[in-house]
Amino acid sequence: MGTFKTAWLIGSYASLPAQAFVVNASPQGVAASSYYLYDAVDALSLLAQVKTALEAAGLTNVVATLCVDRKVRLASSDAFGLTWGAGGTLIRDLLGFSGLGLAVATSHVADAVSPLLWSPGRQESSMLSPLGTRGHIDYITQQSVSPYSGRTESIGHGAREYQRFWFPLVMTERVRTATDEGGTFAKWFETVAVRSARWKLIRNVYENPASSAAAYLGNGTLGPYIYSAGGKGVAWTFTRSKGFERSEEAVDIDIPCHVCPEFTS
Amino acid sequence: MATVAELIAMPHREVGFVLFIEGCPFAVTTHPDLAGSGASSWIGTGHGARRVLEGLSIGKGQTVTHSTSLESGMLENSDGTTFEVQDFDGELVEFMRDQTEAETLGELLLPTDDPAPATLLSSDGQTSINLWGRYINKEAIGPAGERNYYQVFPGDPMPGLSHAAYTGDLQSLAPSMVYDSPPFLQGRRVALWMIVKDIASTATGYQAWKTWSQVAAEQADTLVFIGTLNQPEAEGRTWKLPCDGMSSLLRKQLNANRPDQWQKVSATISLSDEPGAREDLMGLKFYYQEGGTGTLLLGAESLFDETLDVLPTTGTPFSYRAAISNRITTVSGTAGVDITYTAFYNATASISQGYCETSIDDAGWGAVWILILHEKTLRMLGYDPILQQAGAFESEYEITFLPSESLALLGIITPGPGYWGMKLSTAPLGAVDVVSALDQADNQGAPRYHRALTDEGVDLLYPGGDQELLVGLGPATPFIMGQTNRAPGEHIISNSGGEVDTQGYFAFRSSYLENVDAEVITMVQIAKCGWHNDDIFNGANFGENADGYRVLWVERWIDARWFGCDRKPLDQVWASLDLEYAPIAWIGYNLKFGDRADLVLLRTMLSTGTASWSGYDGQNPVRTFGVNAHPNATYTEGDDVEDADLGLAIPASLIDYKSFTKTASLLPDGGADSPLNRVKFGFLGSFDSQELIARILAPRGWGMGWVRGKLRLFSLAQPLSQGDVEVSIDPDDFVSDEPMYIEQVDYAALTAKDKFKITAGGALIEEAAPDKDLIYEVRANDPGARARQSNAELDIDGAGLIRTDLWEKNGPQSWGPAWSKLWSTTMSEWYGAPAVRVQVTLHYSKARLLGPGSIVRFSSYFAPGRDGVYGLNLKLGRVTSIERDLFTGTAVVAILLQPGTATFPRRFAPIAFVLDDVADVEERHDATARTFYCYENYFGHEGDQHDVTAFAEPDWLGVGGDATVHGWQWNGREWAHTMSFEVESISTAGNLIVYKPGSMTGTFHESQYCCLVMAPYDTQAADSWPRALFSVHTRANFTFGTGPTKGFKLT
Repeated sequence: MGTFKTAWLIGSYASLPAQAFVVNASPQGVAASSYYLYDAVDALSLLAQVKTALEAAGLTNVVATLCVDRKVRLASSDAFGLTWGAGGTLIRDLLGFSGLGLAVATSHVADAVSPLLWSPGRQESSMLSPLGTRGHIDYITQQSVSPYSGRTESIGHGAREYQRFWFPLVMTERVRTATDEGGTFAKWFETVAVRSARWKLIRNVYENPASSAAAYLGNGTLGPYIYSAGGKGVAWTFTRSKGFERSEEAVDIDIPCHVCPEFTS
Repeated sequence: MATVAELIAMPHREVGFVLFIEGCPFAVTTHPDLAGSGASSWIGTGHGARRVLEGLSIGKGQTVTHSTSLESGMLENSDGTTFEVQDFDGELVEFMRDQTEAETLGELLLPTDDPAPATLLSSDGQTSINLWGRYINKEAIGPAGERNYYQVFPGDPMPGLSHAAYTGDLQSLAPSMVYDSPPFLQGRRVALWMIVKDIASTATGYQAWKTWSQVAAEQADTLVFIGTLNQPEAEGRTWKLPCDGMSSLLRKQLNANRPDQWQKVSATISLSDEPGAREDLMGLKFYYQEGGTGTLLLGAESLFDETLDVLPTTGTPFSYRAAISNRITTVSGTAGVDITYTAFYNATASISQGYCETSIDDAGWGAVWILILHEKTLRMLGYDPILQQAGAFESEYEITFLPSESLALLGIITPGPGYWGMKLSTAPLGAVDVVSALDQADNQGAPRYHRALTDEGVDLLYPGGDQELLVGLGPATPFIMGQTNRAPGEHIISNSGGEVDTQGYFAFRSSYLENVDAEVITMVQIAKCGWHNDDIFNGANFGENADGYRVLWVERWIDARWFGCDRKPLDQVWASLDLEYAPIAWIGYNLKFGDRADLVLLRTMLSTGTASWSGYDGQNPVRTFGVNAHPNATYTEGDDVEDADLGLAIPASLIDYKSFTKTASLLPDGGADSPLNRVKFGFLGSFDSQELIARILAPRGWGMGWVRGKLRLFSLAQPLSQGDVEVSIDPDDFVSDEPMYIEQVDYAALTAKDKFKITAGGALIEEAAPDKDLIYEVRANDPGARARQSNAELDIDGAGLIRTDLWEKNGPQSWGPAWSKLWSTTMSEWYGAPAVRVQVTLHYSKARLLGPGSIVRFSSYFAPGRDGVYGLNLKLGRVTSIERDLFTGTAVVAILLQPGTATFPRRFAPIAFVLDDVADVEERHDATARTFYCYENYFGHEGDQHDVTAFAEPDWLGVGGDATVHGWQWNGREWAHTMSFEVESISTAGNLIVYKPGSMTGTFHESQYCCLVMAPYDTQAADSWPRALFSVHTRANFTFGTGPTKGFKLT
């Protein structure tokens, strides 16, 4: 499969506890806070924090990035090993790594896709507003009307911004697998949506499963969103795509969501 | 940029709510723009390190109901609501954490300790507890010791709270705890503020919103809810915070810190050595008298010699007996005019513990001696000159006591009042004196004893006051704090006890025998006392003297009858073997009169414990009002003047001061000075403030309202007039989704009463309660009373009213006639009136102006009234309840409409007289400034309204347009209409009317008297407010002058 354009849903982990790991025998870590896997604002980006930690360990030309194959890559001009330790297993899992640590090398690519990242393998369809816009605003305004004259007063309590992203014909392997590993919608939903964590949709990402080049994430970001609970609470339905009801080829994913305030950095 | 007031008045408002919790650095909001902390946030840094969190939900159907009971007049307790908060940030769960590590204070922290000290000692005195930046009970202390940090009003206007600390054994007080973070505590004040967005602003985020201080300046509209926190419920991160409403601020256990137990007290003797009023002298006179003949043989005497006959001013019974015995020995052994008492017939005289002994040889002569002592000395030795006054001399306890007047007849002039002569002789039992004893006058040579009535060393309380009492030794005293209702008296505690700097009120009681034939009763007296405050450690105590005794000084006695005790003031020394005392709280100020009920109410609501005095009672002391002094206060005694334990600390901004005094002025028989407005409230132990308020409201037919963020007092039955109207309501103000809306009308809002009964009982000290309560009863005299066949009776608790029946003469004026007048006519007519209560839903624009107690003018299309037609037209009424919908801003309002037509009562039409006795013509009429200057009240009408006021549209009317005024002037022959103008504005401060530019027509003659009146109906502009407000009057031909408009026939 070659390069294709897709949307990426990048989730966050609220109130991440302080994480500790050792880089080339240098104890490092990430401060407790709330982070997206990636964000343009470094203070909100877990990858940016990891990069800072590696630099603090004396490494040069550090790279901590998402690759076009969806995986995290940590690299430096200097070879480095990394031990996660007991205080770093959570960040290990969030980045998609596994095991006790990383053997000494100049580049380390995660074993799996981060559970905070989901790529449907296609561009989004924003159902409540035109493409590229964040959502549709519902105003919370109450009117009171005089019965005889129709004189009207109103009081506004602000507004809520809603959106619904529809991804038809998503390859089933990106939705569910036997183990629901990172990269599946089921894993992302469990890690991000169920926890009502913030996430953002990054538009027009050029993805290539066969390449570990750094992904370009600057083609537009929408959000932050929170998955909106419905009648069954925070839930989703495995719905095979029309025309593929009797196959395992494709699934339609529907994501109702609403806009929320950004983390305070 | 629009002001907050302008934004609120717009037909569309953008709002967010912020719920503040007293003493907590966090608040919760409904709107994301208002969330945040620090310089770049709506809350900013000007209110301490606060943070506003998202998570508050104000949803559909969330209402707050305020109502006034038509029976008790109280604000009803149903004004609470429950706030739902999502605990996104984990603040609430931390708030609920049980802080077991909290530390217990051992030192007192008063509201006047501002800033708070950096540390105070722990309860064991071993540890310094840091206070700054921490939380004492429900009060937050700022980083530099600022008191009462994080209040629910911007600027933290209220002083700190009072945190009592006591760990002794004599009473139990709740501990004062110090926490690291604000703990959940039931009773914290909460306030929900409505923040408005400037919808014309081009700013984004929080910068488009008005600041907290800006919206608080319009508190009447923006303080949506105030109350106290109750026990929460939680489901996951969703919390429900039930809060009691405004009425909960009126509900508190006051006087909770003073002990309610009686304690032993010791009264030491203290004899005055002041020249002219000496009490420390004694006298002796010895003689023989022959039985039968009465012949005298005079021995020596020594009377009040200021060198020889001096007793110690204070001491023990033994020391007094020793001093007296010395003088007896000396004087009885001295040769007198005829004999030496102890030599001729070998008579003896002596005083011992409990008795006096007299003897003489068996020679037919009696030995007689008179021992003259001050009553204080006599009573301390166990003798009672009243109860022991001799009758038939059948016991050794009967003694002939000679008062000063009788002594004077014997030529003995006492050096001051209060002296008694104890005549002791050998006359045997059964004989009145030695003369009548005949040959038994010598008691046949046997000793004759005269015995004391009680043991020595009884406690003595003197009727004049000014006496020190010993109330404990070392730390063995209860926690005691003074009151600040009066200044302390001037006194230095003896024996290095320090200067009196604190004053309070105490009850004393003991067993008491009125006379020998009477049964033992409990004597009770009330005193104003002073002491030197000692709050060095472990709370507040009476100060110690050099011997370690804690000393209380009785400054003066207060007639206990004011407090309902059936005990007359002391007129003699009160001797007791079982004397006890207990501190009382007195919610008042007059020592010799009743206290005004309206002022008692105000001081109870306002007091914070921050008032103080300099100087001494009776010597023109200077009072400093507390921090919560009301800016509109007109009476010093109705203000922030009392101790924190006796005040509700309701912010002055929440109280409509004038309504209280104005309502009191409506009472019959003297208004505010009516006997019905006089009370005396005293309490032993804690008491419920709500009960106190109820006892003030009920007997006077008063009601408590809550209008535009202010508590107001009003008279339930006050007849309403057009001038009282605050808000005008017409069908355009109604709200309904149904185009055909019909108002609800209740014809049974009030229940007619047939009888009213008030019971004034409840003595401050139960043992001294009168045998029966003071009860007044009246029958209803309303027009329907004769026809009714019912037995509805209203019982009123009159506790606190003066028990005028306890005075036989020269007592206070009875409140019975005023009460009877009020309830048999005004109140009974109100209860029996054909009133209706209409209920409608109103737009926010009108709802925000209303609350229980508001006076409105009401019109509707369909509601049936009591005029025999459908549709209510310009009816006056008072709002009795309002249910506000916080989400929509609308409110369901119940209005009790007054029967009759509001335009019928006579009242002054707009009329003003231009000044005439002036130096310059511009002082009458300034053409440049377009101003007429008028007299304030030329025709002497009732009320405090200025004449010019009637030329401006009332605030409540809301019609607009200009009033046209005619000027009539006296030309020497007649009044002539000389000019007209339209009113631009008026000023009551200057009693002036400014007319609109270019509106003046005709001529103002400077040298003529000028009277200003409203132009006739037809001359007023068609859409102007005078046409909407004033009644239509026609000429005799039923037309309006020369115009074609027909009027209505005058009835």
